[in-house]
Amino acid sequence: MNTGLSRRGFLACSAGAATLLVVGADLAGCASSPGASPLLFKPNVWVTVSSDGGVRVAISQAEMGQGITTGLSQAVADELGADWQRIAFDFADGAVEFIHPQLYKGEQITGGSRSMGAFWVPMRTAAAAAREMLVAAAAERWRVPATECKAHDGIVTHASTGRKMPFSDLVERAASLPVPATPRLKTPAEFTLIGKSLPRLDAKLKATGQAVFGIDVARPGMLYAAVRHAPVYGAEVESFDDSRSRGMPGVRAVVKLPGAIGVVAEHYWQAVKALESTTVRFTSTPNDRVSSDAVYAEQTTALNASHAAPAPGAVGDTVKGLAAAAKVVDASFQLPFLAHACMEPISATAEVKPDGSAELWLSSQAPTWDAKFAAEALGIAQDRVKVHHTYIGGGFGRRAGREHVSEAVLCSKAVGRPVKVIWSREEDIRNDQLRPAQAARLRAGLDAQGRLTTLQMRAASHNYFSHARPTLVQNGLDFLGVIGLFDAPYQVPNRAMDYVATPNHLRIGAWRGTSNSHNTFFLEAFIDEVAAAAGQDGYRFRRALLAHDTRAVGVLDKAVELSGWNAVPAAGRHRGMAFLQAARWQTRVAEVVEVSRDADGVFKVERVVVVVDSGLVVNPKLAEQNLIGGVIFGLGAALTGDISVANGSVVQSNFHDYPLPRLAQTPRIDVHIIQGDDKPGSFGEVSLPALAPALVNALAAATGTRIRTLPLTKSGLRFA
Amino acid sequence: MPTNFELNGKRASVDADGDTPLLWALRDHLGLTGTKFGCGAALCGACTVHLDGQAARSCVTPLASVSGRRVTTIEGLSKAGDHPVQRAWVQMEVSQCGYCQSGQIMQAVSLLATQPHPTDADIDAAMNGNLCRCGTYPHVRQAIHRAAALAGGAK
Repeated sequence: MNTGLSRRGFLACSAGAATLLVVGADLAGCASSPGASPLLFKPNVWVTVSSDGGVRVAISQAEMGQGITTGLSQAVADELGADWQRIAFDFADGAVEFIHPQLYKGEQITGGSRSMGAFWVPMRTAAAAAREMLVAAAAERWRVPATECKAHDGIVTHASTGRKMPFSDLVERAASLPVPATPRLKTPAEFTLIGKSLPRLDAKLKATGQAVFGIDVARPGMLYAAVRHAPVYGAEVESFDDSRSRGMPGVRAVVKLPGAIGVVAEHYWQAVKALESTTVRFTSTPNDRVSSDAVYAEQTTALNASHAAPAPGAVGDTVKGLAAAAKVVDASFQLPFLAHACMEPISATAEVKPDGSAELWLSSQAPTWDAKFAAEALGIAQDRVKVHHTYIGGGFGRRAGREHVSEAVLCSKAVGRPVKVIWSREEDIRNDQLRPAQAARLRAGLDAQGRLTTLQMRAASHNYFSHARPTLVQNGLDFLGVIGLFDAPYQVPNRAMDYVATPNHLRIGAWRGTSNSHNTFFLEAFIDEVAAAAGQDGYRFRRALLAHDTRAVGVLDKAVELSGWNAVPAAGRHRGMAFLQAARWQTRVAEVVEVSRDADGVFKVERVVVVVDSGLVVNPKLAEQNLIGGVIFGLGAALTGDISVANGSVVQSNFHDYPLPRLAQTPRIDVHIIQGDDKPGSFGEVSLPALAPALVNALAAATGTRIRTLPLTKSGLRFA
Repeated sequence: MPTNFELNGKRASVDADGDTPLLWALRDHLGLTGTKFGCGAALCGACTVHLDGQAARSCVTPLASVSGRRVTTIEGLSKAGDHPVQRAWVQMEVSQCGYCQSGQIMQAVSLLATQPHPTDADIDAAMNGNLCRCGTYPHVRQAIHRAAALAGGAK
């Protein structure tokens, strides 16, 4: 990780807005009259301290609402000793310095709830280096040891003499000092900002309509494009008739694109109308009759297939274990495809320059992938593509696709102007990278004392690696199909899992919670059923199986305490719980859902208790908001989320047939965070997976019936 | 034939087909991108503006229909971003990704104009057409109560 420049630094003296100070060299050649443009002290790519008192933090990770720009700024400000009121951030592009080599193999990607953990040390190290240089500059001025000086609130102080000097007065001298190679990081006991619910930095921009999202970008001379994709993924344009559309007002071009047709016009609505007047024939494909019913049937068959790919972590002998069991519980489950349905539809703005290079502006979770996709579409080297990312109107794994990037560069190339491609909501839903449909069969063996002796699990699907990264699928095992089951946290003497691939042509991608979004449902709905078969309460049954892990027991016990689990609920109320442990998020979560049923038998989700142990919390309020968001996202998947496929294409298209949870349906959500250790925790996805199983477990308590498929619109139960 | 109307207190004129949704006239022709595109079918509320002081979904409001009328967008709610609803939104930290929030705020302003002290049920009814994917709903509700207090003179 490149946390600093070379000791020589670099020179950039400008007569313009600011003067960038040379680090470690002579300033004689720079124009720097006092009172004129500010001097900028920039010891590395991450931190810039200005002689006007401001501090700017460069952030490579995407701001999609999770608050990472505030969180990382907070970590930097704390380490630097900056004045929080003078902190601002900038989105950094995919220059090499901003790539974390251990995160996603050196790609600039935001996903997996890993940003804080990945950049925690590198960015704090960069801030610490700046701090030590500012302190050294003050110490030198005062002729005192640097060890007697302290940086805090944007000033350096010397305690015994009471001297103080603001950073702004120190930048020039600091910039002449060598950059420390191994600056000291603060211990958690020294944190002054980390751990506090500081107000998020983008709140006012977002309350005034000033935050610029990808879809808002405007470039000089920009044209707009509307796009229609082939209904069946993989089909291409066979022929099209633009005789009516190409002459319509404002139309500049009708462009054949990979798997789609695009109309470029002066204004977006002109492009939309002209697209409607363009008739297109798409090629037929072998997938033109694929349906979700057929997918489910294939997955059901696969659950009983004789051959499957074994997952790691098997112990004991599940065949013998089931045979010897006093009681066997055997249940099969099916979950549907799901869309992301971010509030900002997909768009991308591209400018292909006369020299053939390209520049892009878009909401993106993977700017280096965008550069690769654009380069491939244009047949140029990747380093000739520059990508700018913006605020994102919802990510959840959606913002890493190829098609809109290719379309934007190809349209720009066709007309020789910058072009903004905007997908309609219908195109956005129908051409999503879906959360895969997955089926599972779980079998448990109980001994005569009601103890769990055996857990045999199988899942079947076409999962994300199989679709997007097939080289990562070894011996038929797509890891994203098994995480959340093969690593089930329960202590069982005999356990094994295997997996059957059921390929299909649909676009599959990362969805909030990824594998846990489906596998935690299977495991936690099932373990509750097993508990009941053992004649035990779901809490006590789980607790005994997690007794080896005090942190797991800790979240369970706390959820029980906060939800009133051990007290009889009020009339018409029922509770269910679920537990999640995910190694990649270093997180344990327990959730209790409480439902009510009225006199007409209509259910409502009244309350959700979420207890999370995930490590250090940088900003408790932001963490809480992420956890609330994950619960509501999970609620949507449980209640109504269902993407169906007919004739090879997605059926749903907008919010009338892909409904999302609304304000009136939102339960009371109580969040409790346990800080388990000093490494930053993950909060963006962790509350989602346990919601649906806790809900169906509550419904089982209410009705006596186990629900093994979602959404609940299929269950026959009615919800408010 | 341009369509003339009042926009955020000033005269505006857009020369586009009369069936152009007001949403695109605002974003595309006038460069005001605070009003957002979410669904194009009045199903999500992201495009909410005020038409003669009342909440309207600009994605299904034809440009021709606003001729001579008064349009207010999020940009026109206040000069300094300090409308009580905006202040409440910042104080209660409602926004996560923020994309739906212009629409949420415009809808909330409209609610408070007719019901200065709304109950939770009033809030449900008025705000139910504004979708949020990030799950800010509990904070939207809190902020509306807070805005009511701020508008009533609280700090």
